[in-house]
Amino acid sequence: MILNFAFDFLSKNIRRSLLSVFLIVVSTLVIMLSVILSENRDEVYETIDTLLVCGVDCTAELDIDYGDNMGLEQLKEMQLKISEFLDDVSEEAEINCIGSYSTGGYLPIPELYEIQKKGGGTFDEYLNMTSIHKNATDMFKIEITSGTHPSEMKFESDTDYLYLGSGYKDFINPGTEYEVNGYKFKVAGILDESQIFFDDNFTSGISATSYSVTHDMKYEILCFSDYHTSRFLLCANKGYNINQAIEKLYSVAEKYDMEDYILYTTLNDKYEMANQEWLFIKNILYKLITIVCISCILMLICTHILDLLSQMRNYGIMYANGFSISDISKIITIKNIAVSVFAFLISIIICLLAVNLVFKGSEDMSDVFNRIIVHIAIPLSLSVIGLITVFITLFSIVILRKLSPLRMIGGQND
Amino acid sequence: MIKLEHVKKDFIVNGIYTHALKDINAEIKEGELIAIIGTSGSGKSTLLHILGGMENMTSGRYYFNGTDISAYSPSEMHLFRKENISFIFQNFALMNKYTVYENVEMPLIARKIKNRKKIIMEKLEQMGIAEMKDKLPLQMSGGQQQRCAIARALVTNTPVILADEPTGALDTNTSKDILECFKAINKDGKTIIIVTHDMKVANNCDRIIQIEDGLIEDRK
Repeated sequence: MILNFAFDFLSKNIRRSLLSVFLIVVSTLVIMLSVILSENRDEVYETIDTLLVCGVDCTAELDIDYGDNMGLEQLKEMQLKISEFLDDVSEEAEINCIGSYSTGGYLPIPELYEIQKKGGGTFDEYLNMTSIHKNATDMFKIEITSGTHPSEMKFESDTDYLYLGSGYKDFINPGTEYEVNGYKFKVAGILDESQIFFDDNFTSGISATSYSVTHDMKYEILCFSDYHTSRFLLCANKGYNINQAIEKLYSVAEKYDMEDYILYTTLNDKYEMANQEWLFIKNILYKLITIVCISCILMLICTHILDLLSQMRNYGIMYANGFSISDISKIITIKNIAVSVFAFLISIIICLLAVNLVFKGSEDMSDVFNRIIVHIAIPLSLSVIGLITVFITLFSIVILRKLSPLRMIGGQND
Repeated sequence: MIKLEHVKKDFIVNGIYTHALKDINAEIKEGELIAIIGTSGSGKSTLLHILGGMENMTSGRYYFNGTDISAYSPSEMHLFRKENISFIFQNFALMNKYTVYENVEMPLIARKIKNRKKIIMEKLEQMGIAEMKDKLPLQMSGGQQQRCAIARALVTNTPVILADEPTGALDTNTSKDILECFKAINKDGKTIIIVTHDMKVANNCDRIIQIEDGLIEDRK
């Protein structure tokens, strides 16, 4: 009966509730926008952070630039020196692992090439492979469905080990061997269909505006080899930060007389450099959003208090006619919850419609935003609005308990 | 039925004590129609509010049917009011967005009474406003609104009805009508206590209690 009366009470005072509805909608949308800005832009960061075993904070990119004016013999010597240097560095306590990787076109292994071409993984005459040095098996998070994991593999020196994308699983088995132009390849495993890896544009900057610097590996190949490129990733060990790892790297490089060849950038610096403008705008946006959000929340609280005061006469009449404070509290609670839930649902619908309209045609982006909204923005904004509703309801009940029916009704003679 | 012993009521406003009631002793029998009169600020409404359990007294004793309710907690007092007292206010105290029917229904909803329609229509007919059941208070005259308030007071069938200046906002003719309503209700056995400054109303009651400066003087 109280429930029916509560909804009846709400329906007769619907105009008073419209401002509350509006403010809740605005507050919720602002909170959701804030979360979307935060989470989505950092989605790029998070993806890389997940792919790197040590995380973005503990990883730096190195370039060992020994110049172009080297003959073949000198090049071979330099390669050997780099190998020894890297082996030495990887023994240091501060260093978890160091290794090179590069993505490029390779002389095609016909069977693999045909499958890759059919799957859309290559559009020219080369087999696309990402080559990783065997030292770097612990650098990346690699998931396989069959074969031997790179971290457990006993690599032989004259063989390159291939991990094929999930698109190959029905055609090629682990253990299959190939030889092309004197180079030996062995299929060591099949990657899980969830496996991702960096795009080519990763090294030019972790740009938040690109939304993604990774791609899936369905028709791609990871190749673990002895070959070093000039680009490396360095991971700090647990208990050490990246600056300590870089300091140790340079101290070892001095022994090899290579300190002048090494250039480094931490991935954090890479992110900040690529996103200076965006981070600046984001900072200002956050401040604006915070101001708007706090204003809306304060206005919402004030609106509720004004509503309470304007309804005080009615509550007093109800109190004088047999409703207990507990009954009136229930009515206020039901009213506040109904208004909050209604406004919240409107906000969700507006938000989801807006996102799907903006990213119409781009299912991936829609999915990304919908995921952020559903898993993060909605729970967060629901918590905030819920807290405000609870606070306002409790405040109303405390005020009611302090007043007599006469004081509530007001305008009585003495 | 009702007995007050040495009742005092003080108000503190801006740190200043106001002795609204100084030493009230009174007895009200069941079925009486009583008028409480006094000048403005004499304490008559305060006395009525204490009788109705709407105000606490500073000191003294209040007996209702032999039970001392002086020290009742707010929830106990609420229960006491619910079972025994109906209040009629000068400004009618109707909920303006509710129809006449819904206003009269409200105390029954509070008491979780089912099959309310029959009870409500009976009281509306008794008050002569049955045809106005779907009207809003602001669509009615003062007299009609007061009849609605009286119907709301009757619908709970409490033994005591307290009315604070029920004719204060009404013209002479309407006041007469309302007084007739009270007399009719009193004939049914209800104890009615009316605060009024209108001697015409007071003279039609069984007894007049006059209050001056917080003290009582029985006139009749």
